[in-house]
Amino acid sequence: MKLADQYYALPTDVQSLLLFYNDDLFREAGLDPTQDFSTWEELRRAAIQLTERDGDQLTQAGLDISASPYQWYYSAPTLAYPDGQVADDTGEVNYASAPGYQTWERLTGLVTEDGVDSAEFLAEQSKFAIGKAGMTFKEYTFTGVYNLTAPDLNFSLHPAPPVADTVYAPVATTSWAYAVSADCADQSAAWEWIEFLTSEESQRTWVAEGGELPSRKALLEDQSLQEDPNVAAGFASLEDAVPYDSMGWDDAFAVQQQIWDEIVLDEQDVESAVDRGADEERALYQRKGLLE
Amino acid sequence: MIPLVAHRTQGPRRAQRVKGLGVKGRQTLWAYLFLSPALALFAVTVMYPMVRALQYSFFNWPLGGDKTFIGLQNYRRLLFEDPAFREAVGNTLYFTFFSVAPTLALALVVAIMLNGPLLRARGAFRTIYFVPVVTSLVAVGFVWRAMLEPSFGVINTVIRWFGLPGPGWLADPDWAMNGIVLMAVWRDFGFYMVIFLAGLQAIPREITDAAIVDGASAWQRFRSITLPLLNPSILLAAVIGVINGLQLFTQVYVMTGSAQQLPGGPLNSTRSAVLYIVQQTFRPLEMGYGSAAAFLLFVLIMIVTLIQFQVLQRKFEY
Repeated sequence: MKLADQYYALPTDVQSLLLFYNDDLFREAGLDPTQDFSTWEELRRAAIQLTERDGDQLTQAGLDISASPYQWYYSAPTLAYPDGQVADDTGEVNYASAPGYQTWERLTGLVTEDGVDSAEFLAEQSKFAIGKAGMTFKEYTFTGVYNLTAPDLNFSLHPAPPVADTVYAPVATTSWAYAVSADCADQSAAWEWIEFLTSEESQRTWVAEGGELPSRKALLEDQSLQEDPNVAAGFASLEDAVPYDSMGWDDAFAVQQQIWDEIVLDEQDVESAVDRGADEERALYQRKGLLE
Repeated sequence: MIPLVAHRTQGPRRAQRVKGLGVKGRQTLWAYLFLSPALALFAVTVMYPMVRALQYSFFNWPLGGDKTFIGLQNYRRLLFEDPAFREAVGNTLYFTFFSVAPTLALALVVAIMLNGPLLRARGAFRTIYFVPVVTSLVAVGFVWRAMLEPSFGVINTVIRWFGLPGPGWLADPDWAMNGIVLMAVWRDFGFYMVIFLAGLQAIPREITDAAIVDGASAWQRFRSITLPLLNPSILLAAVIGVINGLQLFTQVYVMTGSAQQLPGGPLNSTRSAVLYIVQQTFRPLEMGYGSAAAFLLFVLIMIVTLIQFQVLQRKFEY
């Protein structure tokens, strides 16, 4: 990571946001799990096809989105703007404008119009992990989570289709970065730890066993790490990935969660909910001293 | 006899002259001496943090940054510019009222039943009803969360047996707090039952017997004897219940939070005042603002408790 052309931190835990298919449920629904969706409409139709009901009650979600939709909030609008979620020059929240409204409308429409998932269906459960959802949208690290907690789950990873009509990048990415504080009592020990965490050896272990993507560029060329097609899909997603661009973390997610809930649970108008959320996010950054 | 009495009464006087303290004074001194470990602990763990929190509430203090004195601005923002805080207080009052009142009513009914002379296996029933009180609130919260799951949870499954549609419980903003209330009533009524049982057993049997001889019905005995004489227990239970209710946190944290969603949802419908304080303090790290919110909650609890003493306390004589 650079600040004023100076490196000051080294990244680990690189994540891209991908669409996970349950391959078995895809085949049962007559869909091809090897194909990526190229448009939002294709994804939407597949999600509807994967959805199953017993009377009024959902028994299988086409897309697991109600319990953990926050990844969509931050990645989809990020991809719709050339300078990401927050404008680089003004610091303004971008998503309260046409591509953002469209993104929110399409995401929430999956629940409010298409009914491919519901907040009341297996509330707070990982529907995808227990085989009750055809798709989910998650960070790459969930490959490790599912391999560990749902070893019988047959899943594959794909780039998600663009949500808005206008997009500037295919995939959003995040990572943590380790830096050493100037107040650190033992600078050399701290850097030694960071060096170990970001070493080639550690990163190979993380890729092979931890469901992580490497932060060392050199490892992206190493084909021996990509024998598993899901790992290969993760590596490929980093080629054109852009960083998720925000000034907050879970405090910003809380604002975006509120927008989602207002539209999905409270049936509020999309534009007014998004405008209110953007105002709140702006106020949050002002309180934090990040905006004038 | 007279010299002996004189000797005994003169002893302490002599001591008073020597040490400058009377019997009462020395007793008070000893009392404080024995109390001092507890007082010291109270001062360090309660009073000191309270005083510091009051002090911080007058500052803008992003953790890790500089403290800036801003007077009453945090309080003004909380009271007049922060609808989320008012909503959290409203949620807390809703929970307190709708959990404490039915809990105490249920506890009273069960206590009266368990106090009946004809009931067999009374000890076993007392234990059964008290078990939830000593069970971990976190464990209970997770179990209730699963029971309240709308699509496959046991509670909605039973409701559907009767052909009724089950509510969305914790997934529905209109029902989420009621789900937490339900759990709280189930968990807490055993505690208040014990308080009421102790109170019932302290009521002299002669008074009830006299009422029976006078021809008072069971309802008249309950209304005119049991309820008034149980007033100290009811007051104690109500004060404890309301204070606990106003400090609602763990139930909401466990039953509505997850790795991917902040507790207090959906749509902030279960966000309590304490949860709001924690979220405001430790998420954006606004220590001054969180301290001010904590102090306002403290004032609210004081006011509500004083009102309870005024409204509920009744003087009586046997």
